[in-house]
Amino acid sequence: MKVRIRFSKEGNLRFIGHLDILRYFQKAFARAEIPVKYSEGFHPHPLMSFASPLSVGLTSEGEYLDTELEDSLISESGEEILASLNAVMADGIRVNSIRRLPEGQKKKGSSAMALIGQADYRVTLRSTEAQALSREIWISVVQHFMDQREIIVEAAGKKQAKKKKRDEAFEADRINIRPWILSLHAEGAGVFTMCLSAGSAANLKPETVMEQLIAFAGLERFKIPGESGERVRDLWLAIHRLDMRTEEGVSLSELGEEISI
Amino acid sequence: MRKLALPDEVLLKVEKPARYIGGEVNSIDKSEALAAGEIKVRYCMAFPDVYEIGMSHLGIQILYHMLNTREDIWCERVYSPWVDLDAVMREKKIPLFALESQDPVKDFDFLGITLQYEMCYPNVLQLLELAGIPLHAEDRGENDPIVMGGGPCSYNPEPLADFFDLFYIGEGETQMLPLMDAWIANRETGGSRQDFLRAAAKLPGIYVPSLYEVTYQEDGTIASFQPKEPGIPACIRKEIQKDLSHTFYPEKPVVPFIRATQDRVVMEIQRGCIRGCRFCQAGMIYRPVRERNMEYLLDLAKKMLSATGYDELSLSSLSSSDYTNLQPLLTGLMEECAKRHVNISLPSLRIDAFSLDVMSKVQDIKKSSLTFAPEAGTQRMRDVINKGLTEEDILEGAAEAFRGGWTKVKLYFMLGLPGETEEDMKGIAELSERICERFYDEVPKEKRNGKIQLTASSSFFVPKPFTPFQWATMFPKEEYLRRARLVKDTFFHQLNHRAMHYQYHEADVTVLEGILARGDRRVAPAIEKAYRSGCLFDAWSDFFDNDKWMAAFDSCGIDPDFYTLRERSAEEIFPWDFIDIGVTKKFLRREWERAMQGIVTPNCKQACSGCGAATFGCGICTEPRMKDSESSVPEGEQ
Ligand code: SF4
Ligand code: SF4
Repeated sequence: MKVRIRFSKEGNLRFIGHLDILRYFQKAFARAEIPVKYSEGFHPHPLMSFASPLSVGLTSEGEYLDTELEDSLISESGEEILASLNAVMADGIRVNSIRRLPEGQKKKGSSAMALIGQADYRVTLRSTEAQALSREIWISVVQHFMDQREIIVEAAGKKQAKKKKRDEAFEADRINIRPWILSLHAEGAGVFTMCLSAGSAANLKPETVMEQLIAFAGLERFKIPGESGERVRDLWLAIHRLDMRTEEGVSLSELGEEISI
Repeated sequence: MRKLALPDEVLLKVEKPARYIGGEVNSIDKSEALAAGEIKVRYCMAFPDVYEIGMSHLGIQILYHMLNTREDIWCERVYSPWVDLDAVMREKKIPLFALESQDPVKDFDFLGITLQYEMCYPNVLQLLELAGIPLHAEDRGENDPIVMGGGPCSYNPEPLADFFDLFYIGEGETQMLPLMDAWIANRETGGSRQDFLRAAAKLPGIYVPSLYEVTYQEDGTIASFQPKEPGIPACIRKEIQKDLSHTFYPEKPVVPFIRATQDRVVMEIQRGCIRGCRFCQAGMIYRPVRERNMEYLLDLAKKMLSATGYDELSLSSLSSSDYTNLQPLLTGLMEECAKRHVNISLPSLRIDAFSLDVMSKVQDIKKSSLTFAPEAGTQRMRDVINKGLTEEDILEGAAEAFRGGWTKVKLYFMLGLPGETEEDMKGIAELSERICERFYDEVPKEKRNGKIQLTASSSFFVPKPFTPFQWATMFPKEEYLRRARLVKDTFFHQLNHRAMHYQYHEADVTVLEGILARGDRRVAPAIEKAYRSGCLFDAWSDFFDNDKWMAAFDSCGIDPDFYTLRERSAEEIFPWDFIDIGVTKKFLRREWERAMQGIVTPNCKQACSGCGAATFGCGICTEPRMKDSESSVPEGEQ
């Protein structure tokens, strides 16, 4: 039985990298005594994959894990599986939905990773000064920002360009990210929600959007500079992933069917 | 959400922040009981090395969970902050904190530091300093935690005596809780720190260094070692858990988020070793060997796998092949593990038909390598060290393995053993060559599963307290290197040298380890000096800085040669002689003499040699054995 599990990763678990979360889930399934199918070969490993890795420091309530369970579990409902998993979870991580995925067709593009087209985020500016600005001001900043036809990112593109062929580099240097910002709202003082293009075709990071927004408004002082050599430079933001969606905007949690007995 | 001692900007700056956040599966949070005032003892258990190493240590898991079975005790953990965090903590004045509560260690009642290897001594001082606890026991006040040490290095605690309030000598299962009770009682009656230390010193296994006085002879050796006051025992007998099938074992070990060095369930199947190799400290200090009951282990394995979800189970013991019911135990475990997709790993197995059969079931033959520890290259030398392994055993084991499809072989040797001759050194390469030749004899060309790949590595021998070789002299660094080069050269002249790879360990570390292992109280200032000059994580070769250490000895007026190159007489009082491990000094001396004559001593299963450990009345000493040639009454006792 192929299933997709939605989980949240919050609190102190934000310091655990995604490979460790994968190892964590392998053990959690074993503790919950939910048998996961293993790959063939001399070193079988549990069949498990994530939709999209979440960087260290970020929290989320919309992470997805695809796995295949042994059919012996048919006698349990989705609720029961969730309950037994949540009984063995560490503080900061919860599973909150499980859906059965269509069986058989091994067609490419049905994995969570391949399906992703959009991701929703909630981003908070940590600067107390930014939080002191009223919501109205932020709403108007966002409106003008979104009214632009082009938002050109230079530096962010350069890194990507390195991987590409030389002749494309010039083009890749300047990327218009405006089409990839599907929505952006000021929710409160210094708090924003946004829906951005995600996945293999176009992947826009919330920190890139915020950099542009701050620069557009001339409020760079909200960007507390990180020390040079710091692994994570975006400490001025608290980023929380809300959900992941398909290209069409359907939440990954809505695909597949409920598991009931 | 649990609070964190480190702010985000620090946690996101350092490598592997998971080392510092706690909250791991099966870790124990008693913050509510603490807030309700129900906790009487706050104990912080420390491993003076990085998290991934410390988390792999079984002893801490045992004591952590054992202390936490008591509702009025909250035991937490701390590991050495890695160099990146160390710098930040000093710069931002962030005090060392325990993982569970994230509270400063200085607020605890106890800081217990396990001492597993000498090279971590500077890290002990790092923990104290970052915690804000005075380095010297004598400078500590009523509000400082009691700093206690334990683990194998506390069998010679003297080089660290200045820094510890007390040492626990022996196995932790027996006296840890009585010690905690003594502390509670002392506080309830309004006793001082000094009152507690005096009371503790009267408990079995507890050594309070400040209550003893050492005097020295003109030649620098110890003249006397005595308690300063009446009522304090002159001799401290190690603590031992006699019955290992009816004792505490952590059924729910803590599971780290990040990969630890031992990323698996570790199940100790027995403690101690029957073999008595003459260089081996573990073989002596853990005598007598005590096995855990097989049914107990089968049940324990299930519980631990269910509670952790690990996909690997490792059996821990000094010499697994000597476990009486190994065959049925493994059969039972393999059955259980197959159901759960769990692998079994079996370190310290002797290579024979049985172990090869087991290994072929649990490992990928093509990828795994066979490990032999002949320790010495010639039979003569193996007799000197009492390694009951003949060349025939090794070659036959290898042949059996080659027929079974193995092609990778690892060999472990020691160099610089007492009485070692050039022949013994060359023997390392020659034995390796004979193993290669055996491969070509044994496996016909068409059946060869690739070429043989042999790796031989040698470490330099360091004499340790409580071994027959505690009287041995060491060599200067240059001499170690000369020996290693001679071995390397001999390898080069072997027919199959292309199939063999030889590597040797650093010689600097060997000399330093030698000083610290057999050091006395006078070494302490040099450890402190080395730490002050920047020595830290010396067990990591990237960080080890020999020049700083040598400068530290020099500036403290300590002659390293006194500890390494001096001949020790039969009568000399050693710094660790006040500890009674059961095995008598007389037995060790007899073993030293037999070593010099190349006479082998039987292992405990073959015959009792009357080492003295029978005084504990447990384990192998009380079991019938093949031939009871000698009485098991320890020598030196009436
Ligand atoms: S076999 Fe020898 S080296 Fe190994 S633990 Fe036993 S005594 Fe020590
Ligand atoms: S007393 Fe005898 S049987 Fe017991 S540990 Fe010593 S030598 Fe072995």
